[in-house]
Amino acid sequence: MKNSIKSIISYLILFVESILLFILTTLLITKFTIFNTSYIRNTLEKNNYYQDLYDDIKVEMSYYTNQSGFEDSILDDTFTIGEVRYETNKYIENIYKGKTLNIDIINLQSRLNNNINEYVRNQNFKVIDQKEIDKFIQTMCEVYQDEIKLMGYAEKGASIVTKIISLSNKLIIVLSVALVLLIVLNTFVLKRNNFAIVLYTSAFIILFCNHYFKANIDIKNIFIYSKLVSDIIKHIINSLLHISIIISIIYIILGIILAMTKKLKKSY
Amino acid sequence: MPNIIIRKSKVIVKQLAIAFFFTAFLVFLTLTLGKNKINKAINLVNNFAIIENIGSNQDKKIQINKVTKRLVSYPNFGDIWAKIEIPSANIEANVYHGDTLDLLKYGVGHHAGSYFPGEGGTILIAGHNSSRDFGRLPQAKIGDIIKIKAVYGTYNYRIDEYEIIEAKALNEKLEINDKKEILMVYTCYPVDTLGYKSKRYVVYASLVGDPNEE
Repeated sequence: MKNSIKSIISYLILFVESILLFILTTLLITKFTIFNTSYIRNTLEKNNYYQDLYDDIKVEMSYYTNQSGFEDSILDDTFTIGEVRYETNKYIENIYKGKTLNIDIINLQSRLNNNINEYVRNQNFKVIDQKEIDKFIQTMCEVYQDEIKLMGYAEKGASIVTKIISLSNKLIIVLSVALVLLIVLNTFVLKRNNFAIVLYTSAFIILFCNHYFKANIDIKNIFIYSKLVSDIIKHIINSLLHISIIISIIYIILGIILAMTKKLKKSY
Repeated sequence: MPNIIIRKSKVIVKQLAIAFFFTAFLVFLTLTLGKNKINKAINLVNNFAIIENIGSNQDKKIQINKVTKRLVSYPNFGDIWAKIEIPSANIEANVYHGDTLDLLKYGVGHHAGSYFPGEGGTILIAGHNSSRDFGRLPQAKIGDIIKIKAVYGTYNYRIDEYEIIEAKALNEKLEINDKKEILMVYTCYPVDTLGYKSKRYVVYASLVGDPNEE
C-alpha cells in the first residue's frame, strides 16, 4: 500500500478514534457522577440538602396546622434530619435500581398523634370529630412522603434511568474494545502511532461542548420542581463542566507527554 | 539537544493543528446536520430557566384605567396590594397578590387568576380560619359590608349570600368571569374545630356605590 494512502486511512482512523474517545469520556463522566448513587449522596450532603429538605417539610406541614386549628408546636420532634436523610438515600438507591419505594411514616404518625393528644389535653379542647384529626395526620404524612419523593416525579423517570445506565455500561465496553482495536490497527498494521492527536481532538471537542453549553444554556436560572432541587441540579451541572475541563487539560498534557517521548523518525 | 526540543515542539504544533482541524470539521458536521435537534434540546432546557422577579410594588404606581377598567400595572406576586375589612365580623387583614399556602401564612391571598376591584369581574380572596384572618367570617351576615382598601382606591361590597361547599368543589363553584363584579371571600370550614378541614365557607358580595379612588 502506498504511503500516502496509508496516511489518509490512518487520519480517518484517528478521526474516528477521537469521536470514540470523546463519547467514552462523556459516558465515563456520567457513570461516575450522575449515575453513581455515592456521588449523588455526597452532592446532597455537601449542599445541605437533607437539612433544607427537613426545613421544607416543616414549612409545608405548617401550612396545614393553622387552618386545622393547631399550633406549629405539634410538629416538634415528629421527625428528624437523620430520618429524612435515611429515607431520601434509600429512595435514591431504589430509583437507580428501577424500583419504587414507600416512605416509612409509622414513627411520624405515632409522634404526631401523641403531640396532638397532648395539645388537645393542654388546651382543654374537646375533639368532636376524630376523623378530621386522622385526616389531618394522613395529610401531614402525605406531605412528608411527597417532599422526599419529589411528588413522585423521580419515580416516573426511574425506569428510564435504569435503561440509560444499562445501555451506557454496554456502550462503554463496546466503545473501549473498538477504540483499542483501532489503536492496534493504526499502530501495528498501518505503522502510524499518533494517539496524541486523538487526545488533543477529544480535549478540544470537550472544551467546545463545555463552551457551547455555557453560552446557550441559562444555567444559573434553571428551575426544576423547587429551589432546593434546582440548586442541586445547578451544582451537578457546574461540577460536570469543571470535571470536563480538568479531563481536557489532562488529555492535552498526556498528548504532549506522548509526543515528547516519541521517536522523531516515526512522527509525521 | 535544543534542536530536538524544537523539532518535537514542531511535531506537537502540527498535531495540535490536525486536532483543531478534526474538531472544527466535527463541529461543522454536527451543527450543520443536527442544528434543529440541538436547538430543540437547548430550548427544552432553557424552558426550565426562569428569571427571578426581584421587583416590588414600590417600583411602580398601581392605578386603574377608568375607560378600559383594567389596572395600568399589576402588583408583583407575593406583594401586599390591599387591606380587607369586614367590620361586622371584626376582620382586618392584609391582602397579598397570590393565594399559595406559602403566602397564606402571612395573611389573606388574592387569587392571581381573578380580577382586581374595579375591573368588573370576579375577585377571589382566601384566608386561613385563624382569628388573625377569616376565623370570624361566619359572623358576617347578609347585608354587611366588606371593604377592600386597595392601593389605588377603596371599594365596598355588600354580602349577598354565603354557602358551605366541599373543598373539592371549589374550582367548579368559584367561577371566575368578567360578567359582574363579585367579591368571593372564603376560608376553611368549620372554623372552630381541630383537624383537617374538607369544607369551605364562601361569602359572595356585590359592589356597592362608587369607589373612593386615591
